[in-house]
Amino acid sequence: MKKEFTNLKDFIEDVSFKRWIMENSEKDRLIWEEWLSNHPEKEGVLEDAASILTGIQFNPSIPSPSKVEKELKKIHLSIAAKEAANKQPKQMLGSLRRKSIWSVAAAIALLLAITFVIPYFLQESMIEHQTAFGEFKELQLPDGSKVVLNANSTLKYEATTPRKIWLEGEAFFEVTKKPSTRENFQVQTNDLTVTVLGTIFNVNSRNAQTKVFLEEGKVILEGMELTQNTLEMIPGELVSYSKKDKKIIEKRKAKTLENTSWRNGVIRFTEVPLSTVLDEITAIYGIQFDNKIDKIFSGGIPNENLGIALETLKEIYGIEIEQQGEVYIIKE
Amino acid sequence: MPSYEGQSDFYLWKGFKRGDKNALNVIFRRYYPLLHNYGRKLTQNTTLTEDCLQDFFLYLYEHRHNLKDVDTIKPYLFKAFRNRLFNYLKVNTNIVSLETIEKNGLPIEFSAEELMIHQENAQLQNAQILPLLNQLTNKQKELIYLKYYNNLSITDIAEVVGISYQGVLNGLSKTMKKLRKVLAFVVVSMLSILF
Repeated sequence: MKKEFTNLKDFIEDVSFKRWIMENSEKDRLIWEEWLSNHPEKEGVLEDAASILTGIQFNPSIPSPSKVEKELKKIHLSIAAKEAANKQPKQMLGSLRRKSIWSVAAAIALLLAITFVIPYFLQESMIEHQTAFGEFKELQLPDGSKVVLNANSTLKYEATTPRKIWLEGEAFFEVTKKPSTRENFQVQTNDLTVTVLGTIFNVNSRNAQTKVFLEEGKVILEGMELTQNTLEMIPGELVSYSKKDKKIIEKRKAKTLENTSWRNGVIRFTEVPLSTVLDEITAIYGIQFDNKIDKIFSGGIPNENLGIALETLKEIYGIEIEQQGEVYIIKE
Repeated sequence: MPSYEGQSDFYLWKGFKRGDKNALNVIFRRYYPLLHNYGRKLTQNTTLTEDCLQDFFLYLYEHRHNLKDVDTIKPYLFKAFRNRLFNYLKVNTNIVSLETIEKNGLPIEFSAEELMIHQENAQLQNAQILPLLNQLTNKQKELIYLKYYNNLSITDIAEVVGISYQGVLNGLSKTMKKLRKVLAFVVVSMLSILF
């Protein structure tokens, strides 16, 4: 061996030395035996180096995989909560300045429209707005009507007929009157058509039925396969129809808050079974539940923050929500 | 979702910095258990360690854009978590001052169950090693812990603890000299051929 071995580092980083100590290699043992007989003064440092390499063997005590998964889930919830919290102040700012932002946006949109979009629209294109799980959007339609699109929803219309809306999911409408053209505002779902004459209302087409809540004005429901296929709704009324079952599931006076509170980030429930609340969470956040508990729920669930939504349920009922793969299991 | 199976730490870390939740999952599952143990060793407090780890991973995720690129994640996480834990202790407990910790380290305790039994006279050996181990200074114990419990290289330990390579080596050598007598089974059996 030509290399100089004087300090600990020289030994510890030497491949042959490591192999001798760690793997007890016979070949290397012979090499080092010979080396040591020529350098007896290095015995101490060699022994030191050997003991550092050998060390002490430990049996680490670490948390169980299920514990790790539990903590990982907590991190995801905290991240979701943080991200939602970071979004909130921007929205509040938005509402204060909405007018000016709208006008700037409108000007830019108009400019873009003239140059690029209008020629494209003229080919009968569809305009589509979509929201992801846990997200909702405020839109203004070309006729000035305002729409708030709830999470996991799609709203579409032909560029040439912006007052005929096709909806999958849930949206809240504030429709402007159009007396000059007398053109009706229509919302079409899988189940029926809602025809509007200047009004404020909510349409929810989740769970294989369409639920319409009329806050103000007048709407007519059409396309129901019943003996009488149109129905005129009165303000404060809630009507729910299923095309699959060919029947009106619900027709009653309802509270505004519970049907349209989602626009403010909270979905309200008044004395409904837990399963209804979970169905709503599934629709908004796209997660699946396995629920074996039957309880009645009253209260609010945030619709932009899954972590807080689940925490709320846990707190109110003192239940356990455990994630197993894609499914959340609800237990006492 | 990209898979990080068999990918180098470099790409895994890049993915994490991009905000890829899958990379976060891989890193978390791989290093949480080790950091959990490290935190418990340093604080002897499981709740505090777990709170601090939640805080730590959330902090990493939130500041992911500002994190440096690394080739090996393990020493980086050990170092960052150690710093965070010290700061966390400073804020959340009034028992220890940061200066004291930085100067003296935190008291690590080793238990009999953690010592690997691989000798015929294991029980006797463990009974002898344990008191010696636990008599070491906090800093010496941490070096032993990082080197033999977590298999960090000397270069990595130097970075985690914030001392020089030679400093780590000297510390380990001093410690191993003390333990030599009881560890003689291993070392001497190997060297006895010579001496």
